[in-house]
Amino acid sequence: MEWKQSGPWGACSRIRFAVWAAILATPLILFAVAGEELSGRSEAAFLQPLDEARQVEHVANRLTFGPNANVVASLRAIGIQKWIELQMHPERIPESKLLEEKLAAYPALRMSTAELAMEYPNRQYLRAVSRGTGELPSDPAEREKVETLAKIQAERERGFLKQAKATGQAQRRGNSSGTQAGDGRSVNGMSETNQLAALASMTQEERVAAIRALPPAERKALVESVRPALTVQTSLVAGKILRAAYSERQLEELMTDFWFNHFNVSVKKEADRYYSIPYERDVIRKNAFGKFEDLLVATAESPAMLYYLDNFQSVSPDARFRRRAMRAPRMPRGLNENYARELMELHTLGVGGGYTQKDVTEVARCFTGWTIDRRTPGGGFRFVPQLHDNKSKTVLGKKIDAGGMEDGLRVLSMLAHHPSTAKFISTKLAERFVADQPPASLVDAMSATFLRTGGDIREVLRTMFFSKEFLSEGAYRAKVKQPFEMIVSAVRALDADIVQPLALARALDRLGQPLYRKQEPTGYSALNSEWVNSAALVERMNLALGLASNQVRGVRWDEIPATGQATVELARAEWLLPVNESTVASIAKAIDDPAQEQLRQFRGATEAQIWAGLLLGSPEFQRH
Amino acid sequence: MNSRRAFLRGAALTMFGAGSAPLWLGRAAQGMGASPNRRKVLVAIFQRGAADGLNIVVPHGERDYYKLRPTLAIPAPSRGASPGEAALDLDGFFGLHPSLASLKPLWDARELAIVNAVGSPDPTRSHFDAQDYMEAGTPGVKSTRDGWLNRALVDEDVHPVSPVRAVAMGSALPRILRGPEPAVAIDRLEDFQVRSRQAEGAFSSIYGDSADALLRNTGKEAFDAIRIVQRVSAQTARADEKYPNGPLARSLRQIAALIKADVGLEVAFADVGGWDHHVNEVGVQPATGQLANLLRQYGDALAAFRRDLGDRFEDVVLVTMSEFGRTARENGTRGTDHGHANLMFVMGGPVAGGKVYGDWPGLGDGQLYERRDLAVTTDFRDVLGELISEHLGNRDRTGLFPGYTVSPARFRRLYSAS
Repeated sequence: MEWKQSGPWGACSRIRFAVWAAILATPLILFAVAGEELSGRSEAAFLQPLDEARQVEHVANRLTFGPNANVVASLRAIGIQKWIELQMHPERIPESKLLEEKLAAYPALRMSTAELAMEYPNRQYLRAVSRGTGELPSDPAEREKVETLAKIQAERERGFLKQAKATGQAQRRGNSSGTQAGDGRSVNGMSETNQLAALASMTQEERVAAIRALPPAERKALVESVRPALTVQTSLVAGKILRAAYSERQLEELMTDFWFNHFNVSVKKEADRYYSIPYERDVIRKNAFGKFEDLLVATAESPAMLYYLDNFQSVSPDARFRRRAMRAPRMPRGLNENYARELMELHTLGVGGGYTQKDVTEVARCFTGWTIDRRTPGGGFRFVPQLHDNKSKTVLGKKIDAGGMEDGLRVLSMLAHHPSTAKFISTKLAERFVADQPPASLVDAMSATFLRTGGDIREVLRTMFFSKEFLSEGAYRAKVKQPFEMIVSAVRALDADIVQPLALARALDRLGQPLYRKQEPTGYSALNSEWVNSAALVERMNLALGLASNQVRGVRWDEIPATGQATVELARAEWLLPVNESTVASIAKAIDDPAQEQLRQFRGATEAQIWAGLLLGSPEFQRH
Repeated sequence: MNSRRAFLRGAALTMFGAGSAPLWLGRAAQGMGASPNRRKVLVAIFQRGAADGLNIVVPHGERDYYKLRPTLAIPAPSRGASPGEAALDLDGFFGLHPSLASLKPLWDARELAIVNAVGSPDPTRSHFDAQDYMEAGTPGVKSTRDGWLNRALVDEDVHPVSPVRAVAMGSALPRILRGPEPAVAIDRLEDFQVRSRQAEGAFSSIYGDSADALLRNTGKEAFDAIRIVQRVSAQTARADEKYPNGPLARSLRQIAALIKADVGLEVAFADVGGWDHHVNEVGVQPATGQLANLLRQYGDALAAFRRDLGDRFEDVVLVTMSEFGRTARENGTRGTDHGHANLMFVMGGPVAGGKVYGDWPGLGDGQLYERRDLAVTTDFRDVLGELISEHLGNRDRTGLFPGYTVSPARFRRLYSAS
């Protein structure tokens, strides 16, 4: 999000300070209420059914990335029951043409890891090619491409050397930050190869200026070839934003988000940049409504997870001599327990799910030899028997002595059908879709379904969505939107056109939920307390104002209502936002205040846009 | 944020809000001199990418250093060497990289200490994992939910808590500062506001009138924090200390402004990237090139921060870290690869500076970790543990670094408040 610089924001006046002091003096009782709000809703509230109108509002808000005219119309046309059933079968829903058009611009999203590695080679590989140690593709065209990129990479790095030589010059230039392209340092109109050669000879500042001066399409192509690995990451991010905003298969996107977060990996960990595209597409989305065991096995075998939680380098401690026989240059030392621990703590049983440190070690032994095929770039899962610990193990009191890859598969099967897993997954789903503290009755029913159906995710969801607790006062507007949900719901409410998804990704960084960059294997918390804090709230307000006044570059809405009143009506009818009268009164008061001339002229926005911005930033819009 | 804490914070706001400025507003709100509530501050700086400690504090007394790094080694200080080309001697064995000349006065004034051969016992050479472990403060354990800088904050049941008690410079809250204590990420002080003052007024009344207690209260906190930060920001604009260019200088300048304004800041964090020098770490001369340029900005920023703080430096300790060190031996591309032990700078008024702490393990063949890297002889948690315990007064021995008991017996005694 780019903001034009506004005027200096001076210190608060004495009057404003006095107002603040008064507000701060609010009686203690107010905070007692806050305590109740934070500690959750009473069990009784989950027995109180919602009336029909609010049922539609609730479903439209909770089971999509935000209601829009389409969702509301289809919910009203076929009814809640059928709509939910349909959403649980995404393959029966024709996908949005608009989405398909937008996604076409990101070919990386359709590639395998091997193709990604070839098409967008990373720096280490290119360096190896330059040194003559990197294995080249056999296809002549691919080979030429890799060699060219390796040459560019080498030139760039030599460029740094030149830069180092020019240190003296750099110091003389001292105040040359104003250096602009156009004074003989422009690369406009050159062929790409020449552009790269020219850029390699420039200083950092000149290079940035020259790239900035290029037409947008050319600039994109150039940046992609100079920073191929980054393109993979931006494609991933763009894909997620566009799907959430435009997909007709909203529940599938929500579940993909849920499971990716549950089985979190992070693109911050080197190679996971490449693995994450196939991981989300072929492991997560594909199994989002299937059997939990299939999903679990798919994650266990995914290079994304093997790499993220280090299992790829976990080997039997007594495999040392065999490793030498394999002539692997840098082989790991021995057992690594990271995957085993998180598998039980975060993926299946949950903390307190009945396992011990001894179980962690034993499970780690079961997964020795589960690794990534590193013989070619972009290799997939590979089980290496020589690295596996074939001795007998005991996991959760059960003997595992099948040997080979079967050891790990047995552990996964055992965990996937464990009662603790049923409860842990059910609780997590209910926390995300119902309330921070879901009633025990609901979680029990979901766990029972989980165990009865052998972990059929769709059945567990059906139990949840068609429960009385889901359509109750207790669940109604009980959840604060996560930043990603807030941003996407705002875009959907405005029916905005996302031309450049990365603008929204940057806004998400500021809201504290950078996409695919959650470092910890825990994933993001779905609990309200995680997302309600002062700094993030300020950013939400700013983002709301920015989006509504078309100040977020790369995102536009045009169907702007004529008046403030019309905006409120739109919010109530299509965003299904229960706007409070006090909010309407506050906005009206602020806008009608003769002293608020500046607000009415906020960056050329119409009055209706200001209303929209204040509504999107209101407490009402932060919940769903 | 749990309900008890929210309640206490609320109560604090209420008590100090009635008719007078909250206590933590101190100097900023009241325009007074020294605030009775001025706090001890711990500033943590993370050099992301694994800085090459061996070329930052040069072991010029170690012959193996020159053997292992024929191209990269910084020449030992000698009469013959022209200034800017050789290490600046510290104690006859170690010397500063010449680009860090601006830190030499701090060293001489005993305000800067160096801990050498310090790091994490975990063997990982992944940037990601090592940063994760160093920020969580739990080497080898990924499931830790919060960061040590958040846990370093003393549980505030007695003092009123400032909304800007824990600040990270940047757009997202880093791992190191995540946790139960409220912490904010601020990229630029002047941007921490509702982008239109009028809209802020409207939002403030919308939130103030809302029946949604959770959001109403957080809204209040937000507008409160905005007011404080904007006040400080106005002061920053007037600050006359000259800072160099670069992101670290920008961060430190803002942290200094928060410290000087007495708004209740207790811990602050900033990071600086660009240290992963596999290729062309040095230029034509060992003391030029990428690392030299980065270090100049780095040292100048730290020195400017110290000057800017003036007498407030008495309340401040700044500590630097990097996820691991780099190979003792240079590689084939005028650079170094991922290694093990590194060093930490510790500077501040109460620091017993002018000394290199830690046991030097040597760079000989039998002395290197896995026959390639500087070995770790001081656990980074012992350095941080000492600062948190002695400077911030948080004497929590077991909760600070889960699975590791902070033991004063292992402190390096680099803190001397007297």
